[in-house]
Amino acid sequence: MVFHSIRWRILAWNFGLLAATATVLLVAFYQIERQNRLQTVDLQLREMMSKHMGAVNDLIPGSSGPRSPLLTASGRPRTPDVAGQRQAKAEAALNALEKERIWVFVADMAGPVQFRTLAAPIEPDLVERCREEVMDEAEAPTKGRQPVNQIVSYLGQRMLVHRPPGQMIVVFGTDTQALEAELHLLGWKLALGGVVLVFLGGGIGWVLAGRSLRPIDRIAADAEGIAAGDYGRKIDVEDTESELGRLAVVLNDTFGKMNEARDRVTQFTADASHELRTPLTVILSDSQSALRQERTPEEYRQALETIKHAAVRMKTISDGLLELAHGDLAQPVEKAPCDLADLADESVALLARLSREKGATLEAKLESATVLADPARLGRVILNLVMNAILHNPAGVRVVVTTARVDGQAELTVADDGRGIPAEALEHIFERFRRIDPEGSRHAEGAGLGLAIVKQAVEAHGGTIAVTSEVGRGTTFRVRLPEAKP
Amino acid sequence: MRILIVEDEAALRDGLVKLFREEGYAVDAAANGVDGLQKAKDFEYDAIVLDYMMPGMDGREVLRRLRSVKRTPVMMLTARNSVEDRVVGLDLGADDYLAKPFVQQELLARLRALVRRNHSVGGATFTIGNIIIDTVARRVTKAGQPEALTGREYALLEYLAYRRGAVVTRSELYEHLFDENEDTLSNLLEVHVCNLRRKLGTDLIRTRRGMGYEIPVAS
Repeated sequence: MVFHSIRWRILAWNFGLLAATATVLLVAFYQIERQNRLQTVDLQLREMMSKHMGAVNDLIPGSSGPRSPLLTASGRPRTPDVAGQRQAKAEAALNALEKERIWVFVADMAGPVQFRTLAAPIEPDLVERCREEVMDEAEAPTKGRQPVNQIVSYLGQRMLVHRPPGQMIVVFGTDTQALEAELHLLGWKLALGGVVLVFLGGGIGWVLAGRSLRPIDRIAADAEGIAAGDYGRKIDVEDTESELGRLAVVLNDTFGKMNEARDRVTQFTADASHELRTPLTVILSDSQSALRQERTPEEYRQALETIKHAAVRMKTISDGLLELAHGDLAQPVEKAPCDLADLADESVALLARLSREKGATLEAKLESATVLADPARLGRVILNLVMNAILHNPAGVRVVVTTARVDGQAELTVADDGRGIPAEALEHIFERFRRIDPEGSRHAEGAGLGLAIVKQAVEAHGGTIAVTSEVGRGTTFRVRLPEAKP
Repeated sequence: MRILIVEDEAALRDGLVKLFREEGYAVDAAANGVDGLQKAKDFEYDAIVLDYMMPGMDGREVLRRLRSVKRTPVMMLTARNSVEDRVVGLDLGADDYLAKPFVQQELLARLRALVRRNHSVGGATFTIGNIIIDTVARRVTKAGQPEALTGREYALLEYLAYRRGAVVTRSELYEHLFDENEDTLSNLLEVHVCNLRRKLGTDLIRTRRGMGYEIPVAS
């Protein structure tokens, strides 16, 4: 697993790239050096050949000079019986060649070696090899063809094979074993240097990677701490401008928001279970006490009535929670153009009977104002606000619903002249599970979710909701939504 | 469309309720004649499916008493399929007569026919501008393209189409679209009207504020 760490990967890449680069460069260097050295040798061979060919020619048996035995006992060719001038020239040539460590031999294409200097290595396969090199073209028996020159490397010898027109070859060669050994040594030195370079570079890379990755380890350690339950913990930021510093800032921000969300959910869950527990307790205790002994039908009826009441309250709460959860998910709906006035008109009509039962007066002053909305959610906003105004106020309250176009926006107001809301309660009025009714109020069965749902729905439509209230004089809710072209 | 099923046999009653709900009807059910007659008097049904043979008040009696106050279309169901029974039933004011056992498709088709007759409508499809409503398949196309409507949207559109040219009040629509267990507060008509306008065009349904809705004859 450790080899999957970023540090190891960086090291592996660093190593691989360095090794590849070093190999390519060093091999190229070696090859160029080798070519240079061999070219120098070749140049010398050609130079010597052009300089001394004439003299060597004279030594070839069957040439213009008289035939002579190949070698003297000392290895020197026995000087042919020619004019002294020629002999001197040949002597000089052979000396000059020996000084340059160049050997010469002359052979027949098919026959034996006819002439050689002492240093000339005339192993049979070397001679054969020289013949082969110039054979292909030589086999064309045309007379007057061009002479052929060919460089041959074989058995540690570098040779220039010359074939003048005819069946003879003249080979100028030199021993390159020392040179090859030198090049070999150079190669080993380069390889060693390359290996040292690669390891040095790799080591530096390892250290650098470690240094630059250390902050990530720290961030990981902090994040692990947070994951382990230390939700308040922050990632240490040294340099907020560096890449990792910015990452740390972003992570801190994200963790902070998640932490807040988690706190809200925890609070919400606690509130919700508390709210649900109250009616559940009622249901349990009433049913148990009803079952404990034989009761009169009237007593049973009362117990059932209480239980039904508690169940209705639980239904209200769970419906509200469900709606809020849906709103939190913010599922996109296809919005339809709706007239706020028509929605308000129907809502008011539907609540007319309720308001009569509660002794409230419900009025509407409606002016068309088209909005682009999810009509079902918007309808619930209106119903919720109007129902609140009717239910949370004493009998005789007057509730006025208006819709209008104001400043290029669609506006809905729900105003009552009821008991009003104290300023300290008004602040928290849109929070979940906030009920502002005094204890024992007749509408205490509300879940305290209605206005949270309303606010969430309005904001989901890009609108705003505001509330003004004065104790003893009444409350006004004002919803503004972006107006759409009708 | 809202219908009432009066049937004492629980299995058949539940089956019929399920069948009609799946077809998009608002359905109320009654298990005996007394209950059935009460509901038939209280609500405006588009049709009543009435069993002939019931303990206590039988179908014939329910029909006789209902006809003294209302002319809601009634489909009689019976296991007794003699000519005499059919004649008596029809003469008491039943609008149609179906013998048990019957095929569901036939019951649905006969019920649609009753509703059409009740609204004095001839065919099973409506054409409003480029919108075609197929009441058999319960499908709506606009300019040849099918439009996906919710069950409630379809029911509202279909009812307004049956009553085309008239302003249909909201209370009439609540009565015919929602069954007795539904809460109108969670089913604002305007919501469905808005969605229908989005899907089928803004001119199709006209809102008469304070009065109701209308599909104008000219549109």
